[in-house]
Amino acid sequence: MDEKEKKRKQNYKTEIYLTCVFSFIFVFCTLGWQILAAAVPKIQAVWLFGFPLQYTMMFILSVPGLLVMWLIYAKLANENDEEREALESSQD
Amino acid sequence: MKEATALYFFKSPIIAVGMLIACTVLFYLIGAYSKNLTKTADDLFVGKRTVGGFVNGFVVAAMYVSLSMFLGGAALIMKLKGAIMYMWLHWIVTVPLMLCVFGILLYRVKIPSPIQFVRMRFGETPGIICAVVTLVTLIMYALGQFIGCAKLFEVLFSWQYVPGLLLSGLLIVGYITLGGQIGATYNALVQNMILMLALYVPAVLIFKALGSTSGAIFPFFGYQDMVPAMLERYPTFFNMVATPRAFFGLIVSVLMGELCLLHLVVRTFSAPTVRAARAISPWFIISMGFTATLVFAYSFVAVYHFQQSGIALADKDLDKLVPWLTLIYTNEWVGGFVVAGAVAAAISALNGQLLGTGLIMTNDIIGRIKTALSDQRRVRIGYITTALCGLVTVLIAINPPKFLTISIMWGITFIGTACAPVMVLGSWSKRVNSKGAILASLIGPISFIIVSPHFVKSICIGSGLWAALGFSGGMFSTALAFICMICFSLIAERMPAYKQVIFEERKSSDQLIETMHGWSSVSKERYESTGWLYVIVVVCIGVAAWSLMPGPWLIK
Repeated sequence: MDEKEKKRKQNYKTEIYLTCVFSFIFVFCTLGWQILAAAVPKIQAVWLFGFPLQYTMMFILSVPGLLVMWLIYAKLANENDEEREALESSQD
Repeated sequence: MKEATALYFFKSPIIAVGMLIACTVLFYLIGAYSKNLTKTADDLFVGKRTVGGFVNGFVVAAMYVSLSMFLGGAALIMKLKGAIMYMWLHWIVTVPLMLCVFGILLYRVKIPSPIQFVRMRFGETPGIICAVVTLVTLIMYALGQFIGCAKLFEVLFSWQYVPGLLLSGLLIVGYITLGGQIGATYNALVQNMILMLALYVPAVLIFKALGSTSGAIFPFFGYQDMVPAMLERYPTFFNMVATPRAFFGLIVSVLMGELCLLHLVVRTFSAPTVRAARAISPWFIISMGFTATLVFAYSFVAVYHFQQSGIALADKDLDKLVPWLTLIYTNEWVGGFVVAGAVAAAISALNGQLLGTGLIMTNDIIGRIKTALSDQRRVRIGYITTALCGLVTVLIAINPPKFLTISIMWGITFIGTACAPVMVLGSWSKRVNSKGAILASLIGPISFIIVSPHFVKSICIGSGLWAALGFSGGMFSTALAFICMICFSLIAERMPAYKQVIFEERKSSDQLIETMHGWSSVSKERYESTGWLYVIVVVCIGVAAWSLMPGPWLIK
């Protein structure tokens, strides 16, 4: 297998991983803590910044948390796109 | 406890009515200006491909924030306390996920409508099924906005329901039809600013009036100084009322449904580049975070206020909490501004929904019957169908369903059961085919109708509010639709009768999938694996079985 084909395979895998991993992280960012708190009631007794932990985590993870995660995702996805575009144009 | 009915209303409605007239004039002016820029059918339904991430993010958020969130959000939180708070925030993830798994892919192949993608990928039959289901959902969605507007006028200005509905309905349909998607872009941006201010300013004043210093400084999350007093009056406020299964049902149902909302996906197409399309998400998160956290703050204050005053609210009055609180703690000027904000929330959502119905009618229904339409005729038909869909929705709203928010949630889950497997799997796997798509897009929504309490009560999955909203039934039906799509596709490709048909179908669909992901050539390895399809089937069987297990969804 030549170098270019290897790079193509790697690029394809990266696309799949990025989508799967970040989709899971995005969903966890917004609702993961609530499921955790519902499943483990002890968590509900912990308080942070004057609110129950799951309430505080909802705010932190859903807005600033999701924002940070998205920026990381966008950076990696844009880089992967550029690499693929370079691979595809060099083929021509 | 005392019963509250129409306790708070405008003593002098001139201020609020004046603000509404000013907003209507502004929206019509923007619409009229945009009409001159609308030359083609794509301009009418998709807009120009020049909108950057910042504007698009705020426009998508405006189209997403409906009256059911501005007013109905506080009502649901009042009813279900903490659980629903998490539900609202959950939906911030919708647009990032939609772009991540679907929107960017459509952008690359220059397909503005997901239904057009389904048609190109799987043929006419799944395309028509998805078009009809999406059309029904968008009309249900729009119905809620019209009803909400009329009810708002009814309670605050003592207007009669039907005249209020007809007046507001005709004005809204007129300006949306006039401006098209270009007008919707400018108008939605202005409307988002109005509704954000209409939530923020009164929230600051209300917290100030209640003596919460930190709440007045940071109303999004600064009201912890009121928490001890709240717990004293209402110790169970922060208790979780949803089980893990209820949260999971919510994820499956709503997330899959919202991925398929045509009027949001279509916004991706107005970005000039893939990078600009990706940049929609952070601005959407900021805008939605701003609005959603303020809605929670209002709900907190509402529970606090009505617990303290000992006034019991009837279900029909829950939708009036935000304007009522504003009138109680501030003045009629601020109250008028909130009414303008609520109307802005309704019509910003209607922008996208009505244009979405027009797009489906023009491109996916009339456009399939009469295929040789010139662009000029499509523009004309587009204007007519958009206006007609709006007018029909207004007429349906004369005799409305009981609890508007429930019909919207149910509709969103409904669209997911029909379209999500077809759209998501169709863009990520070459192995799924039209045979699986037809069966999945039929079995998903039909099974959802059967297991929901609104039609066949004896075979309902779940109970109470979660079943009525469609989250318990949606968990089962969405999983079932994914299973059907994968299993029937893999079985069909092994059946001699279908082998040749599927071989022909793949000639075009393989190229489409590769192009969607940015590849110029077709590879025999990419998007071919069946391993992950089997994993999805196993997971979905588990999800469907979990939804059928006995046990509660909500904790009493």
